[in-house]
Amino acid sequence: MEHFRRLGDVPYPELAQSLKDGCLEMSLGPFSKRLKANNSQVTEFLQDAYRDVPVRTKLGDITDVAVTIKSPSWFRQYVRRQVVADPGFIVPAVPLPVRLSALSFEMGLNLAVALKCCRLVSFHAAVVGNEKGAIFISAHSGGGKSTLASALMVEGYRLFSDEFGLLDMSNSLLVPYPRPVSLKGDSINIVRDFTGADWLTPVLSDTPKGDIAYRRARPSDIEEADKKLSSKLIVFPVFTKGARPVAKELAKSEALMRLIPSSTNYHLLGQGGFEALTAMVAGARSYEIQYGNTDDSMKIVKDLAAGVGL
Amino acid sequence: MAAGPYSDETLWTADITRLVIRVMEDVNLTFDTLSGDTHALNFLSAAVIQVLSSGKETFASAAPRVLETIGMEESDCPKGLIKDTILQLDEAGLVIPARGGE
Amino acid sequence: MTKAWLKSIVRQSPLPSDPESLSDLVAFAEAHHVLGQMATVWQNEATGKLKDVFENAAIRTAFDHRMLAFEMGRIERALHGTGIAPVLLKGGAYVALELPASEGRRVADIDILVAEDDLEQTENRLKEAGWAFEETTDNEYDQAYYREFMHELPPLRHIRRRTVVDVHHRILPRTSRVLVKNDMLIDAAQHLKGRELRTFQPVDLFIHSSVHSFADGSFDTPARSLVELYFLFSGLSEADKSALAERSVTVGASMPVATALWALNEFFGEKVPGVGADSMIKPASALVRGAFRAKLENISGAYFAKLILYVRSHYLRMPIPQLALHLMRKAARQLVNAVKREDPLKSQ
Repeated sequence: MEHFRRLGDVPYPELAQSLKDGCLEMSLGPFSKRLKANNSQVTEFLQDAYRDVPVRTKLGDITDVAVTIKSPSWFRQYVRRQVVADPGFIVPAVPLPVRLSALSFEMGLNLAVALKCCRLVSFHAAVVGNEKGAIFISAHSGGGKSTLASALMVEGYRLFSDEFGLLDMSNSLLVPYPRPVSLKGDSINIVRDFTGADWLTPVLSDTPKGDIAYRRARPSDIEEADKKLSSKLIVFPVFTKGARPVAKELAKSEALMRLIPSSTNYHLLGQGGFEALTAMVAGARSYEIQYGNTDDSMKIVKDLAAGVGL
Repeated sequence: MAAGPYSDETLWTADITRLVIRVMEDVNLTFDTLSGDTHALNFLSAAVIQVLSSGKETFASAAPRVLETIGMEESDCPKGLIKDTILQLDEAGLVIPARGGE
Repeated sequence: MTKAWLKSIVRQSPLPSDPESLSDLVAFAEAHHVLGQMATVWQNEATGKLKDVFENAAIRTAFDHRMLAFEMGRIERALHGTGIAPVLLKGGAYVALELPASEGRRVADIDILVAEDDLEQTENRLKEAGWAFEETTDNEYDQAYYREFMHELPPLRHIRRRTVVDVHHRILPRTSRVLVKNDMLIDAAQHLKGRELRTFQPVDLFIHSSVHSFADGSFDTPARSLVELYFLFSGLSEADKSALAERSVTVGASMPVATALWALNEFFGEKVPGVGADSMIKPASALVRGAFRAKLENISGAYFAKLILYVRSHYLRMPIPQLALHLMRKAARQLVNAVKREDPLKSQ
């Protein structure tokens, strides 16, 4: 059986052929994927944004998810070409023009993982961690979690994920899943300024979500993707333009009741999900933070992190 | 909206064995293993479930037992409040009329 | 190919050893909603990623079954004091009875059957308890169509929990060419212990599943139907198996039961008593067999097969003049919707 290699070490023709045949196997954190695409934009995006991720070009095992990037119809292969991500089950996916294939791939993969994963409690959240524990940033109010996660990476935190807070039901630990960080609009420039342009993919402009670029996970994030951590700090960021920075501690029961609706699968999981979530909340301190800019949010989160011993 | 028909004669019952309860601060976080719902219950709701788990009661007969459980007088916790709580718990599927209990 | 896969799914034959075939099989099982059953029969052998995938499927099924058990209680609650004890159909019955056919089976909606005389009261009670018709069917034409020609109310969705109950008052539409004797099935139904809920007796469960899969004609979930029938049939006692042919004639379901028995023999090699040219029930027609195979294999002729089946399915449900009228209305509505979509300004 073929061994896993760093995706960046696979020559382009081999990678493209494997994708065309639908037998590229990618392994990252808790999920493996089978990928299929006859599309140079997807191949190039993988080479850039997934450079350090382990893959094999022949399927060595079955996978958690399978995603195919294809034309929405026979007609769209030729005229005003479009692509759509097919996760193998029926979803209301929006066809996108071919130049946005990378976005289609990322959205399709997120959807496949979010809808199919039941082995872990999955939250819409960004998570980073150091050797002492993890910071869980809930996306509840859409308050710039990706920017905050990117900034914390520069401060020495490992990237777990900017899209999925994954909780292991057997031990209530958070599980890394270091996919590329998705940056939108103004945050692209902000993150480029503090991480350097090398770490960002080219910008996809005029997408349905505005401008988008991806910040690649670092080799160290990927190598340590099997190291799970307990959550020490849970934050619910609220961005209000021009607001003065404030942090308000939340009662544990309130934090828990706020986290439930941000989960994509909690309602499916039964008692195991409840036990893991109560343990996670019991072992952490939870805050709602309000802020008006990235510097303020960083300052608050660093103070809170110091307060819980991170 | 009620979960179904009821009257003042209805005997109510609850099955506490299917609930997993974690007390955090003053809230009873209650997981219903049957419905998969998580409820944040106050002490009155928790007491009603406890009382109805150990015997079938009407609205009227439940009241003194609930008051005893929470250690309150009727002046602090009127009967109407207990009835409302039973109906809310009925709505959530946490208490039900006993079979043939009219 | 599909035949081999189906045998692997129910564990009549081993799983393929090379990853690509196994991956394709798992994708097939998932797309046809039988991954849960496959996970159940193989769970002790699975290792590595396959174990993860099966564990995932088992969690989903467990959720479906919990939802079902809770909703059964809610229906019972809504009908409290009326004396109506609905018959749980299909998945609901298998789960309540803990039959092998329930293990790993996905369940999306709850189907119940009540006597026609109890229909109105059932509908009203459920509505009082928070179930409501969906917007798409809450119009005069759909309501009249369901009530006059169908065998069930339009789906009732609970406004808070979003779960769906299908309330049937017949096994098949009033206008169906297959005339199943509903009363005989309902009369033989048995109470669940201590509950105001009933299920069909074991032979009738198999008969009803056959009717559901083969009489109302759409063959929408062929693999799922086959796997279900396989586990239902293997769960029957020898006495029940022997009684099957006669009972299906008595209740007026010999045609769909014959098709089901043909399919079990064809796909799983199950030997079934009482079918054949000389026996009580006649085997399925070549047309039905061909159409079913095409649908299951999804081969290139499937579009054609679907077309046959579409007409066939409505032919079975409705007399011809009504069919023509209904298809015209359906076409007219599709046209209206298409126009709406094409012209966003107009629809605002």
